[in-house]
Amino acid sequence: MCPDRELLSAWIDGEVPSPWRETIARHLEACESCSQLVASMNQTHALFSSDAALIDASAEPARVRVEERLGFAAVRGPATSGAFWARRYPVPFPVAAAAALALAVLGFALAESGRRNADLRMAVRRAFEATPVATSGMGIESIIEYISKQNSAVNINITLPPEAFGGVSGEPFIVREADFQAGSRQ
Amino acid sequence: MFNNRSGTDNAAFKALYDETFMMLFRVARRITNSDEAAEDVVHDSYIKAVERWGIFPTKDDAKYWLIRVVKNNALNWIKRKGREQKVYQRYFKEMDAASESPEDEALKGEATHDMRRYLDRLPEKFRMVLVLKEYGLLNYKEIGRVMGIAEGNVKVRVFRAREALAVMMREDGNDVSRP
Repeated sequence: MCPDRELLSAWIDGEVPSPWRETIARHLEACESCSQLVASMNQTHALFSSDAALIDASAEPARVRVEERLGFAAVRGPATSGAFWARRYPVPFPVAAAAALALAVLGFALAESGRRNADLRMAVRRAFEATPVATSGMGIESIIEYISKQNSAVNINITLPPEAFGGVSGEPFIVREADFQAGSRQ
Repeated sequence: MFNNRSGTDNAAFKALYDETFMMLFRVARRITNSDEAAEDVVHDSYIKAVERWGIFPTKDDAKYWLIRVVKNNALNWIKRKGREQKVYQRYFKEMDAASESPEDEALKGEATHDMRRYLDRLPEKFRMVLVLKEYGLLNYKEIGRVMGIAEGNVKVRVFRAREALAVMMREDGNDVSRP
């Protein structure tokens, strides 16, 4: 019994597994009609193979041109998806090392500068801090004497007692009363 | 083109290129019947592969994806060309004769040329499996992977394509099985 023609087609493509492959081979030796069919298919295959060889012979220039167009030699960046911050940017090692060193030096300088500024601010604060030097009732003479004893300029706040502003200001009451009496209709 | 990729990626792509170019060019050339079109189709397909390089888990995935893209791009090219030819033919009746390349003209009457002509007359689903088999040198499993069909279906299509070729050869008196 002859194998199915579809099976013969698969057989010439090497797609029939053992032991069927060997069984079909033995059958072809004995069956003229099947071997003719296989010869026909093999001839077709041979024509395609020679056509493929023709294409191969003319493909080399195209291969070189496409390789150049793809730019294997002068590489450019491919299209990448995602935002720029999500992409990876290659940095040469010497550049990365120099950047790290610069960052470290800059950081140390900033820290040192901050510390010095803090010291300076504390010194200024101490210098300007109010120091009570006299008690209430200190006269102007004693203030001048205090200033003359200082080696440097000092800021002095003079606080007057609140009762200093509680008295009567302006003309004495008696004078005003006299004016009133003088101006009255008699 | 690959400097945003690692050196390993560049080497892998170059290896894929070296392994696949000839096969892809043969497939594209046979579908389009044009050297220039085949070159453009293959080039554009590699560009697409580079753009999607990260999605391929293995080199084989990239390879079969590339074959599928080349096949589809080549088919799109001949469909586009067919539409353009129809437009031209409305105005220039002689375009029919001009559609064959000088190579086709020189080979006219030869068995290889005739076989190519028969192949072009096959329905697309039979033509593609035979092109991938004879020009892509792929096995049934690989063809199934590229075409998105079962291996058994590939076997059937290859057989029917051969049967159809045999019928056309007999009709033209080119039956090689009958001396």
